[in-house]
Amino acid sequence: MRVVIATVKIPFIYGGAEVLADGLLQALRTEGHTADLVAIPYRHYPPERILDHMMACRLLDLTEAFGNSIDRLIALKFPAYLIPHPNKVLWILHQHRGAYDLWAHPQGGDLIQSPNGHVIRDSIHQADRNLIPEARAIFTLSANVSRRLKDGCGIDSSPLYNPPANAASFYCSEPSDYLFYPSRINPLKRQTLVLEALARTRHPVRVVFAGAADSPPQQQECDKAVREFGLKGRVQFLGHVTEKEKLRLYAESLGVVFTPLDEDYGYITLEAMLSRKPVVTCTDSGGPLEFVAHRETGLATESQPDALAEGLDEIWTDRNRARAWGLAGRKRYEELQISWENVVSHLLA
Amino acid sequence: MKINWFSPLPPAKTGVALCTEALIPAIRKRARLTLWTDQQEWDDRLEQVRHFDPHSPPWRELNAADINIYNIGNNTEFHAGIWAVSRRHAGVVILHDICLQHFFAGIYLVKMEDPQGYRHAMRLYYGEDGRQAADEVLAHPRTGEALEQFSTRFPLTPLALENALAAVIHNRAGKQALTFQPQLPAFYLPLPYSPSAATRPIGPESKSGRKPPYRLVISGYMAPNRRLEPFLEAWAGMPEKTAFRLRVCGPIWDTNHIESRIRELGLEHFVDICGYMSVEQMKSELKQADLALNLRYPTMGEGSLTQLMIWEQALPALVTDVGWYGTLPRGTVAFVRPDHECEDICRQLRAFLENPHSFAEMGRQGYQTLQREHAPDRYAEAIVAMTAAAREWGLRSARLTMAKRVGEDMRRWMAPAASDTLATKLAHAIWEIGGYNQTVVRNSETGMAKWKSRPEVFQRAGQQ
Repeated sequence: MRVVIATVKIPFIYGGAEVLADGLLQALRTEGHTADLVAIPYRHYPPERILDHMMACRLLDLTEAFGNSIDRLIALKFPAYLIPHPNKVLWILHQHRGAYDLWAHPQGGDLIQSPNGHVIRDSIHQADRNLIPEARAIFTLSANVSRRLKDGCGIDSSPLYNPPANAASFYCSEPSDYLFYPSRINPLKRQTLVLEALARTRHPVRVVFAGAADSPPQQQECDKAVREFGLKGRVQFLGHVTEKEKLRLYAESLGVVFTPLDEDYGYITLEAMLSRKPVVTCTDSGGPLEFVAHRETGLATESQPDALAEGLDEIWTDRNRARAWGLAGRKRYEELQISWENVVSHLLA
Repeated sequence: MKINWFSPLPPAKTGVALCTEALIPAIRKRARLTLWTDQQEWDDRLEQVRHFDPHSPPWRELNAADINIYNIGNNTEFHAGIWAVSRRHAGVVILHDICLQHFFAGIYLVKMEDPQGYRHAMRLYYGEDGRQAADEVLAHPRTGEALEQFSTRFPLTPLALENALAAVIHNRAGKQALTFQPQLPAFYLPLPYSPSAATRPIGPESKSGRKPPYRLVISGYMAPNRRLEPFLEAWAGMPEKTAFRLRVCGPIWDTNHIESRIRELGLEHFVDICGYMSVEQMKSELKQADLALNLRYPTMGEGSLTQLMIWEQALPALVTDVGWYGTLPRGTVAFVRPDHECEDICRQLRAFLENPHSFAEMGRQGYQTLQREHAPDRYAEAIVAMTAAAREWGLRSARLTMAKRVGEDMRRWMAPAASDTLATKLAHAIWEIGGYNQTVVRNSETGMAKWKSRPEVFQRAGQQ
């Protein structure tokens, strides 16, 4: 089958969505399909630009190339999923969240901070509602994304899980004295919530953060919290780490902390499970909750510093239990049968 | 339902503030209302008032409302900041004047000191004629004569509506002035007014029992277009002039000039110049009067709050048969034709002397019109109904803005022969994004998607 994956790309940014697109491309080729990736350049500001990009997508023709038909279009991201195609399948990573669940969020909202933001929001809603149903099948990255699509647009979809990159490389070693929080540093990942919780733990819990800050002020905010809460010596910000280093940090941790606000999916949860580590997350963290069974493979606490502190203390002090939850997490991962083969078979059905 | 209402607020000396004050209880019965002003002070009896900085508007709060409503009139002092927000954030614009040339000249030439911007705006909306008119205004900045001359021919109203979702006017005749934007929803709503509960207008029977000399009153700010001077000239020429006394209640644009004309015309014993008055004092004057003068020429298309205050006292009035005044129901006011001004003033004054009862009846009819047509509840109902439609208007506005921008860009590079095909495709794409409620039909065997009514789409897109 001749397959095109359509997505959007912000120049110089390579994150989870790009990893997923590359993984899907590789999986399609591995299964013998002729596949290519088409990435539409995207800029979401000023908000009027969003409408321009939506329209640009509607004007694209990906039905054939050099006279050969393109049998299937797999669209991943807004607004690339608006590209018309008679055999389009959506695997929605997320919609434009600033127009939906993050519209009124104090940190997440971008449109609401802009003049005419409500008009752009309504246009996005209208286009999504009218044009997403063009697809012959609608999958999403996670049950959380499916729920948002239903809530925001009234459209049904099915979650389709994919494995993290290098899933086979994760391993488990004897734990050291730290919890691991690997993620980009930004307000939605709530590293500062973890710092506030650390200030309230009864035990000297240590957390190692890996991942670059999206912008310098966000790192500065974390540094300020470390100073204010007197956490020097108990936290470490490593910034960007290599893949090999990341695998080791997972392997040698006591457990993984991942407390985002309403995450779409969260490879970090799956990576922790592959590394046989328990996960501490929050009850409003979204995607991770699809995998973390509370008190079976980790903890889901309220997103309040005191509640989170209690969870961190428990993992820190009850290491046998932490180890057992980690093993249970790995078992659960196996049961879910998360694989690229499964993804490809659904997207090409 | 949440409404943001941008308006001057009491104690600002403008009728718009009084309109807003009259409307607040009626809107609050139906929606959550936040009042926004860039005044530094406002009447502390008003609740839920927020201050805004026109240079840094509170976008989050504006976006959080179901609708933003901007009151715009000709006074730069009260409306410049509101206009600045309205042009960046879409909402419903209430036009308190239809001709806004004075307003925009004030903004560009005085407030912003940007003559090029003024020239550009005049050229944008009125082509070469507009540019030449702008040059004339710029050449005589002090006299203002050119401005007066061009105010109705080049009203610059479109500039107040460039980001509007819909327009509200208080002048039925003003709808014609909005034909430059046929796609813009425009609504006529009678100016709202809430008669004071304490007001008990004197009935025509008791008023008609009065004897000469009859008491005339003219109230409000006395600009030249209030026709005070032509009235004095007409009245002075009447043999029956002693049957009337006139009270001038409000500041005069040139008091010395008017006082000297009164002396020249021999009316000094018949006219009292009272100066500025509070609303309550003004109402008291109206209550004691037998006939009000509410002439206007030229008019900027405004509705007259003064007229509603006159009707509140069941008082008959002379009005010019032009603009909003010309649309008032026959039998509620006495008309003066602008091109037969002196003749008609004299005719109406004589008619009053001959039959004061019929004029008192006119006042009674006016009072009924006020209660029937101008009730704030009626206005508030309409505003709430607009809120329900605002989302659809927003989508439409986004489509039109995009179409305009794309069209302007295409004009620069697209060969005319190819432009029709591309324009149709673009129109289609814009329509889809902005709200075409299509149905996707999928072939059950092949799974192929197809538009249900594609030809209709193209037709509608083409019309758009």
